[in-house]
Amino acid sequence: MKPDALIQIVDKWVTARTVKSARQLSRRHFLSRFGKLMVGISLVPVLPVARAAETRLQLPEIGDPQDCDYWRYCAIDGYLCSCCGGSESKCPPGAEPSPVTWIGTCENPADGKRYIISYNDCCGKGECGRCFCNRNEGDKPTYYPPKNNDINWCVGTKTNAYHCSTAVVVGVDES
Amino acid sequence: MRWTLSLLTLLSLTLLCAYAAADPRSHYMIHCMGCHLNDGRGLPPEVPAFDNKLAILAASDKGREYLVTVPGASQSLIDDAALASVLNWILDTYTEEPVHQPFLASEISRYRHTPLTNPAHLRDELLGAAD
Repeated sequence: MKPDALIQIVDKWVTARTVKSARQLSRRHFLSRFGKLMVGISLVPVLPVARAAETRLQLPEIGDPQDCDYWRYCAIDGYLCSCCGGSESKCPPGAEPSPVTWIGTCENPADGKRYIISYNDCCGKGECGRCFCNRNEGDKPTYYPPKNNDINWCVGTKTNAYHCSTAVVVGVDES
Repeated sequence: MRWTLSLLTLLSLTLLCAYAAADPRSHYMIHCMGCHLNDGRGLPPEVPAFDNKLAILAASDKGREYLVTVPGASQSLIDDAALASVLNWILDTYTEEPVHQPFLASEISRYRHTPLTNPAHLRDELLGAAD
């Protein structure tokens, strides 16, 4: 059987059923109400309430996250998690992200905007040892701890063993 | 008419720039969120949580002085006006109190240069006194 013929059969059948049910069912019939309910439920995820939970930014990208020159690493100091089994924003399996961290800003060459970057360390495993990267844009001396990248930020984790560093984009700098 | 329109455009652009320059949420993200975290829960006891206790602190002169002189606030790399706006944003965002007296830049400069040697002790004292 040709695919077109099959589609025509299905089409005819669906049309016939729809017309029949439209003739037979009243406006207040259970099936019509149930159908509306089903359509309504399917629309719920489109509403803004569900979308508000997603905080990931859609941003244009240039560059290789395994390369120290990648734009998000403008103030990183450590081993790149993207070379250690994780990614630029995720810890490798078995390593735990530090909740507290230091935060800086980097310019994205793809759109010229400054983005706010959270340099969360990944902790709980020995040093990864791959892709060491030390760039210090905006880095301040150690007597400004919240703006210093020489500190081991593995604080508040199970152990303070340092494994690697991530660079998570948390927002656009509008300050 | 043309001049009026140009002036109006200029005025609105200036206002827009002033607003953009003082975006307290970006300041919060850059200068506070690293330790106090995105939702303000912090890492107690070292990093106190931002909760309704802030409203208690913001209601007394001593408490307000404490909020400005804690090292994270007083040593942050932003000027007095920006620190005032980020403190007001924190109070608006993390407390249930509908109204608090907003911080002004002048109040920040009055307190900011006084060193605070034992923040945790003073915090306990202030909150204990308020209970």
